Amino acid sequence: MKIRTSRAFAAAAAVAMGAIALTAPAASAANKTVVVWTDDQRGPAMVKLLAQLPPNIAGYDIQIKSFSSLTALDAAWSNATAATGPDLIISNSAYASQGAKDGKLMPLTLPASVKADFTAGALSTLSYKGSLYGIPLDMDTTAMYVNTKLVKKMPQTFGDMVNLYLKNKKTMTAGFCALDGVWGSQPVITALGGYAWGIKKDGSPNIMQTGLDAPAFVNNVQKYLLAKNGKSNGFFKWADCTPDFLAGKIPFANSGGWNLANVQKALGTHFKMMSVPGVKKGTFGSPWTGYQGIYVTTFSQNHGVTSGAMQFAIQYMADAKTQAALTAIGNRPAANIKAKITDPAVAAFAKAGSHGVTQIDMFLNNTASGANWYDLLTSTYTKIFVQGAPLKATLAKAAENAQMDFVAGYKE
Amino acid sequence: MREFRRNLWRHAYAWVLIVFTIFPIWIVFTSAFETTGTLVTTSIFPTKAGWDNFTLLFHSSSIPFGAWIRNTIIIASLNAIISVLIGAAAAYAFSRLKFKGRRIGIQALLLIQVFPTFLALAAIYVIMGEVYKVFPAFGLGSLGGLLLVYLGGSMGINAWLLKGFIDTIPAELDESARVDGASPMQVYWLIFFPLSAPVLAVVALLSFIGTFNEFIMASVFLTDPQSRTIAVGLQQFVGGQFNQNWGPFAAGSLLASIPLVILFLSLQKFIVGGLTAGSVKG
Amino acid sequence: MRHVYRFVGFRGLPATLLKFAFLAIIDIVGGIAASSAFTGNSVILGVALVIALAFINYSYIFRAPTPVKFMAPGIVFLIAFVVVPILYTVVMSGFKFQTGNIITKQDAITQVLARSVKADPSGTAYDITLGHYQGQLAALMRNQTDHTVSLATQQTITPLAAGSYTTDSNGVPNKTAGFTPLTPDEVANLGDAVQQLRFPDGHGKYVAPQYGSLAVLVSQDLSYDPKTDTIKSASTGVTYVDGGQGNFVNPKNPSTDFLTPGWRTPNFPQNFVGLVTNPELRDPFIQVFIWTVMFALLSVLTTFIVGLGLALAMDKKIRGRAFYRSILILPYAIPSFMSILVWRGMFNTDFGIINRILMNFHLISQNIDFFNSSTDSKAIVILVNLWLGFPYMYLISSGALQAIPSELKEAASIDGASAWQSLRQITLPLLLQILSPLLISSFAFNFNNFNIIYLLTGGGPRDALAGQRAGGTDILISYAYQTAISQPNARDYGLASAISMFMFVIVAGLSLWSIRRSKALEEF
Repeated sequence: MKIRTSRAFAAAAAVAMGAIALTAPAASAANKTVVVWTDDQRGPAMVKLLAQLPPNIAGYDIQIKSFSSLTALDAAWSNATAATGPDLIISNSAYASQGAKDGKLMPLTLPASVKADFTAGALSTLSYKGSLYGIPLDMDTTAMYVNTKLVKKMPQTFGDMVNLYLKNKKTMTAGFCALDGVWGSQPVITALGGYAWGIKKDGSPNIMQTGLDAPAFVNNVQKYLLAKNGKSNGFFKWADCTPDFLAGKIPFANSGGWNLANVQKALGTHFKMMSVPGVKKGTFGSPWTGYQGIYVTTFSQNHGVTSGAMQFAIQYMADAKTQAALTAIGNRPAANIKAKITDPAVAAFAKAGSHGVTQIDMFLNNTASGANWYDLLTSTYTKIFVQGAPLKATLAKAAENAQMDFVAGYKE
Repeated sequence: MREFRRNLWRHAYAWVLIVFTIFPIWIVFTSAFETTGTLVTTSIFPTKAGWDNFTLLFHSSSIPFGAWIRNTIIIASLNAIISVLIGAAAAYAFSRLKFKGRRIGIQALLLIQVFPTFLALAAIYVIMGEVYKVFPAFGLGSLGGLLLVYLGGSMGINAWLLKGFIDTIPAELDESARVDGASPMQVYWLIFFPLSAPVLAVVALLSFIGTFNEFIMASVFLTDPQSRTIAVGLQQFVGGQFNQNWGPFAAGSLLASIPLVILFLSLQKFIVGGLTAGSVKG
Repeated sequence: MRHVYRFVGFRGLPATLLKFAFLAIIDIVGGIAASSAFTGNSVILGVALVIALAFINYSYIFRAPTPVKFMAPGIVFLIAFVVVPILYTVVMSGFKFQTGNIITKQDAITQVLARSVKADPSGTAYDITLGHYQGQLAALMRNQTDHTVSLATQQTITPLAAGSYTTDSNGVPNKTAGFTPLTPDEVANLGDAVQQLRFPDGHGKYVAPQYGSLAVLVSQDLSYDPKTDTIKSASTGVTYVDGGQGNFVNPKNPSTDFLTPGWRTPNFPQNFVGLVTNPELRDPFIQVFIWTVMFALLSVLTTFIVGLGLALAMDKKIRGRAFYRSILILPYAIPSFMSILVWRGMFNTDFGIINRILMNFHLISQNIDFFNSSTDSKAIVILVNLWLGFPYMYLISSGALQAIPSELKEAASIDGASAWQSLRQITLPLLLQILSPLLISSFAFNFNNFNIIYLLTGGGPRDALAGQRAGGTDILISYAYQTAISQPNARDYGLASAISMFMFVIVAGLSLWSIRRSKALEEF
């Protein structure tokens, strides 16, 4: 093959290239797309919501992209770039501080009228250094499911629950199951007089006071959760007990709205909801309350759709009607206090959440002691309930480590 | 009979391993056919056998299992075919052509395979971001984009495996073809390619399985439930509440494994040769 | 036979035409891509595409060296998706690239300024209609609290008397003298220009539209001076300067008074120093390193011994061999992420089948909490890896056995060697020689085998209460991942990159050493 021929062909190819390049398509005048990232729980709910209650945002289309898990969403979000990143993201409250630190979220300035629809606690969990970064959507909180086939009379105190279990130890594999692991076990800790951090009079957290070693808590754990020999009495479980609860082998379980459908499927109508009762009649444990938020990202600026994204977040997602619809779809109590909650089970969550403690992710996720609150608690539970370690010393150590985390988290 | 007794240790050894091998596979079977609600399997045989878990896979709108299978097969086959073409060409060059930097080249190819890239995802997001600006079809959320990323890794391992095999093909074959006036391209396409067909099939199969197995990249690339692969889809069952979705997970795993196992068994003769080709040259 | 190749396959004019048709397609597609890359503001991709195209054209038109022709497509992909990420990692190992310092400086400045825009404590907000007034963008607005109406221009805000304007069905003013409202489409076309609008109230505050129908009363404290590269606070008078560590800082008090967010900035060699000085990494390092080597070594050893044993057992045509083989290579065919998760379920304390069986046979009286024991977890990891890996070792061993010339073995038996002797003295040494490159690469693979650890034990168990940072089964890669990548509020990509390079040196050194030793490359 002669070089001259090849060059001729090459030239022809180059001309073809140039010709095509010149006819690059002109930008179309279609609606701009606002992309929302979320996980597999929120995604389908959002798609349903948008179909039920189409947002009216002139010039913008909303597109939901749901990742297969929160882990996948985390990975994608932490690696997102200007070109690939979303315009809005829906996720838990930990995203507020993290996204704000990294400069990936836009601060939001809300009108007083919108702010008035949310509790100060809800807004503060989605804020970082005084700026608000997310609109609260709904509450992540828990209440107690009671299997009414096993429990004829609703318990008034924590002791009632333990007694029921001890009487039926042969047929029950445990008395109480925290379906969501250590996070969901918080109402048990608080029902027995423990807590993560103290609360000052003005409602702000007092991190110099940690309550895993509160004397009342130590005594109550000894009294209600341990047998005479210092080992677990089998009442309390925080891992792998979901199947047994659903199979009717555990009378009480603590979880949120995300498990409502599962429980209905397994127990039919034979269950009731209540808050975890405290040691004294009329007192109740306090679950963690976290909030899911919708955040406007800085990537929306790269795509030129920030105002569309803001409008979607502030005008549509914050609205009471939207949040009521979302609550009906996802069974989690709406964050907007004007949103109507009709389902009695969801109302029970809202009630439990109303005496919940706002989870402050910066404290709970800090690892100054070597582990965050949740890992710390897992270790503590394992030591006490599985390995039978001395109660008081173990809880004292746990409280000490927790305080290290909280103090470091506070400094951020 | 004497024959059997003399070979007894061989049979015994095989049977011990068979029990070990089959045990988890059997558990998957049991769990897949167990119908007692959302319970996890805790017994050797299903307490109540049925098809519930399978029907869930195919009749739930939130679990587009059919689409997952389709996506997986599309992307895995495309990746297998293209990466074999790429890998075989490179392997041929490394095996047969004399050029400067050949030794360095093949060593480098091997070494970059062992680089632990924590930031691979970050870098790939940057690259795919650029691609996305121009070719939305290959951007985030698309199988096409994921395929591009997979193809990046295709040259290294495959070239390495295939080179060993090509080394075993006698040099006289191509020398005589060259004497007959064949160009290197012709030697490659007309002589080596057909001769290597079995080992190419094996390499294709291995990269098919590799794609099947991959979920880390896939889970951050595929955002629409309809566009997921099986690995990502099944991963999602066990992501949050492992014990509750055990049944559908087992059923899905079982279904997903069947085509692979059939492919594997039908190609097993070649596989033995293919895997060792790289090292066995006497 | 001579010159037969002139007429077979890819030669002559048809072949040339075919080749160039093919090239032309690539050029056209690539050309469109490159041109849209340049118009789409992706200069890097455009340049990359042009280089790739030039490379491919050069390879196939201008008689490039033959090896290039064979490798061109592979090299393009390899560079894009393997080499570039590696280079990216190498570069980032010299950067402060962590939570709080992720974005570029330019973006950081934008965000710092955006954050200093604070809503007025009164929370005053306005329902607005955007429009043109005297040729400029302006807004008619109604105060959401007291419902007063005013006309806001980019110079001033003028209250309007009732009756001087009309309102839409929602009560939002939309017309007044000299004001032409925009249609919703026109507003949408403005895009984020809406957000750039500022209507000064004359008292140092602004009314800032959030989107086409809402504006909020705000004030902005910080301003950026590009000439001096400083940010000044109007309220405190502090001038923040680039502190060299990726943040604007108050020079008087740089460690506590700085502006967020920061940006990623070069800090070589601090990440590498951090490997040695950061107690979180250093302290558990020896423990993790020993287990990593042990894990990789034991994995190779157990799988190889079991696999080789099987190959030897099957090295004779015994009855049922095909059946045995079909069953025994199943673990290799089943996607490993599935089988690992199945094993995890089987060892579960409460519902795992293993505990159930042990219980049924009365071997235990209480379920064993396997994954809470470091020793048990390690054993399980090795066991599961054995299950996953022995078929591969079996396949390669039996391939190698076939490759050992039978004359050698026969010669041995003539010499009167027993089967065992011939195995030990002839077969095994040869086998090891043949397989050593594969065994080494299997070691390297397991050294970085993140998946099995992550999926099976998550690195645990870990006594978090005792402040342990590494779990009992954490290997280097899973530990580095946990320390540097997985903590949402404390990611450190710079450190992770430094760790990558450190691990690469170990594994690559090992691999290189084995390649150099192995016969496979001797003839180069």
